[in-house]
Amino acid sequence: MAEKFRELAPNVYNYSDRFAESMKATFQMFFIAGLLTLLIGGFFGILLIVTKPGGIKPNRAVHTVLEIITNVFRSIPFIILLIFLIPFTRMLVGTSIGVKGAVVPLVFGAVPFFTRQVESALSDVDPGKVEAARSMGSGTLGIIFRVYLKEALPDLIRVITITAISTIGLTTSAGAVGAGGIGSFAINYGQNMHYQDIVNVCVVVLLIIVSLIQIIGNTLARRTYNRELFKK
Amino acid sequence: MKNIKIALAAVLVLTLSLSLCACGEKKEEGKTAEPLKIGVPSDATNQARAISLLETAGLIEVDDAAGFTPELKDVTKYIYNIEIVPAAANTLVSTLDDYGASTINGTYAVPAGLSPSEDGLITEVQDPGAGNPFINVIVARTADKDNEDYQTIVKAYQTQTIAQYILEKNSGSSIPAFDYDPNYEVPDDYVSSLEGYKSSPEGKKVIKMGVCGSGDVWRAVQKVLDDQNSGLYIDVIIFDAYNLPNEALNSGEIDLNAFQHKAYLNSEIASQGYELTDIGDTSCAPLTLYSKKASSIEELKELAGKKEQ
Amino acid sequence: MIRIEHLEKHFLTKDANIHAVNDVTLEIGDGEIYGIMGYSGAGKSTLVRCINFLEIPDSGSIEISGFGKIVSEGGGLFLEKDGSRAPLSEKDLRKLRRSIGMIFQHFNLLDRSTVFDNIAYPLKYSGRSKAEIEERVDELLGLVDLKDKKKAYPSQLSGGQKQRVAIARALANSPDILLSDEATSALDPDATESILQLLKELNKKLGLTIVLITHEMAVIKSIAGKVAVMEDGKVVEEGEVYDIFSDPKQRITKKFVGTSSGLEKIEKLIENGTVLPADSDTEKLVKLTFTKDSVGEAIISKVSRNWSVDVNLVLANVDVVGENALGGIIAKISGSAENVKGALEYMSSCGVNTEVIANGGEV
Repeated sequence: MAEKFRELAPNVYNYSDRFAESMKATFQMFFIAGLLTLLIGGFFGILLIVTKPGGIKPNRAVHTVLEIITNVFRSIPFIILLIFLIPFTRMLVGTSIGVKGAVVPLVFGAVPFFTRQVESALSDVDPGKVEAARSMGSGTLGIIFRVYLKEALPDLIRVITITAISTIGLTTSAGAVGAGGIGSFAINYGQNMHYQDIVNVCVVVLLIIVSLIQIIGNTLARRTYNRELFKK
Repeated sequence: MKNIKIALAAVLVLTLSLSLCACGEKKEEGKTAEPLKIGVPSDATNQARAISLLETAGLIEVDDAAGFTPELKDVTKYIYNIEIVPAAANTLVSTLDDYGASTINGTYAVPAGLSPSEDGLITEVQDPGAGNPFINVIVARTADKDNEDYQTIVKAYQTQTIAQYILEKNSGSSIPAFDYDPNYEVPDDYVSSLEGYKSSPEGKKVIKMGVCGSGDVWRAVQKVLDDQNSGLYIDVIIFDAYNLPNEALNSGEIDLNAFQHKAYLNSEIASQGYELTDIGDTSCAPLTLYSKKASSIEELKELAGKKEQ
Repeated sequence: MIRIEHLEKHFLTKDANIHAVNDVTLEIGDGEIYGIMGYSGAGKSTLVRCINFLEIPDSGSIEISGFGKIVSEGGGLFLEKDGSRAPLSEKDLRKLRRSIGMIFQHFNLLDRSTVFDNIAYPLKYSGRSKAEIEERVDELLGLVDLKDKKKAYPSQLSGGQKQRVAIARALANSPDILLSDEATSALDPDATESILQLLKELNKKLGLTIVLITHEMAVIKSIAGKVAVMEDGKVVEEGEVYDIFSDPKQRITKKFVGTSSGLEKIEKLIENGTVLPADSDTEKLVKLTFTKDSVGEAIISKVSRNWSVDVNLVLANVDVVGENALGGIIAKISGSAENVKGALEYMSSCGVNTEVIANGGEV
């Protein structure tokens, strides 16, 4: 097995320790930034739904500000965001480089995207269900957790999957601030040193990661649907 | 009704023939006016050298006031009908077929099988001695320039071990910019044994070193440091782009960097107000103009044609 | 008892200020089935939503026995109770909503929850233990006759069954009041009938006050005791259902009653000219409405015998409103001018509501 691998991808074999480091960096960035995005973006998405005109707690000021921030950050290309946020990143986490320094722009890049996705998933929940919950005396939190999040769960899983995949995409640019990762490895070793096998292996690895996320997401989304729901 | 059909047909034929004519004309024009594309690195550090090299080749004229770091705007005259196209330095090898010619760094060209002496049209003349602005340097914050640990690292770099590594690794496309003995013999696995060297930061003082590209040379330097029991550990941080290592060094997030030549450092200091100083020379890697369409500068000039002034 | 006084509600849209509820005053007694009728846009839906404050009225008050009087004033809600007055807290508002059940046209069940979980939803607020919740859900399932669907999902149920689940859910915390917003409008006639029977039964068994809004006359006729007719945000007519049906006063009410009895078809026939009487004194087209006192008598045959007039039935309809029959006939009466007049007078004296809708050639 190892011999075969060595034959197929000699440079990956030679640089296996750097390759392992890159994988580690990618996963670190993905999990830390992903978790923060899930929490912050989820919160903002819910806030957008709750505060919209006609929502369960309408608040024009909060809604408008959130809309603007989301739109502004969504329209900035990630590689520019990465540089633009350096002073802020340094202030927030003490450094603008490495995995730690990359997490902040990653979160800024993924949160607006995820916020919108959550908002669209939640707005598919029938307003009648929300009204019924209000008529039964549910408060804001009750409606969020027992109606919105519960009813939209399959859609939420789907948008989490999409966001996770796009976050993996963003991590490949994080090498610009010295965070390493598979993207950086592919550029600095595969492309710059002309080791085609390194590029190939990096592509395959990213493909596997993305496919895994997609498969897990699809399975969970299917499970959370009641299969009977669509028998009719 | 019939008249309308005839009129429609006439209009159609007219439109088609006009557009065909237009196409033909454009092509005709292209033959004389379309400039020959020359790829140059998009980063300021290499672009300045590329422009200087094109000037040396006699393709353009450059404003003398620009000194060692000319930009595209400093080109005063295109002698031949060429267009200078900036692109990421590391993509120029793969896209060489699409350009009339490209200026490529040895560090990218040599791994791709291009040889400056055999495939190059013209190569930068690099004098590894002091005074050459294109010598790569190790840089520290000005306040720390006398730091003993940093000096130890510079000394570890400027050793015969590293000189041999640089020459072997780059097949001569990169030359050590310090004194070394050119007469040496090394085993076949010399480069890979140095690159495979593993060290641990445990119990050592960690020095953060910002680089661009692979940074493998620092593994070899680490071996030298460890052999000396220096108690130092170099933590290499790879940046994918040239715009950040100086910023990171100036702000104190890293301790040293080594990715640029003096000319670039000076222009960065001038434009960004960084308080940085070079503390040791490392190597220089000449830039070469390669082409798949011409085998000599003369042929390239002929291909481009004189620029009508 | 629900006492609504001077209730006002406006909606501001981009192009208009809609006066959805316009100075409505109503009283709904305990244990009543009270219908609110009107075309869509009449404001009935907004009115009923004001009762459990899903819509906050601009001004006016609603008093609910056992809870107090809630006054809307200057953009705030106040609770008047035992002579004291305090701002209505969010907690009180939720408590109020929990004491009023509500069902909807589209059921509004949670699709990703089973029947059990749907019904258990409001019970979470009742402080019951898990076992007690289970017990209560079973009891409610028995009440709406759906014991075998406990583990089913809403998508596996018919429309009527879904509405039964919704009713069970609305009654989970044993409210005294049930608001029904077009609860049968999305159902087929059989399901409508069974839901109405269930509501009637619940009204009797539990003493439940039911406020139902609908645009379907049949629903009102079938179960309501009292009815309010709404138009443009106002209650234009109100009273016992039988009275309203037998003697509608307002144009809109007449239109509703006419539509429901089928007698409005006469207008088409008049338009066509097919049924117009020839002479104004000797031939008249009349609409006779028989109420519960006169419906049993053989008035038509008596009239034609005693006054020697011909009674030509054009349209006839007998309805059951609540427990009582209500008849309507459109007939052409012809004979001598004197006899026709006498016949009409006699019928009026028997308690038949007599209305001449056309005299020879004139409508």
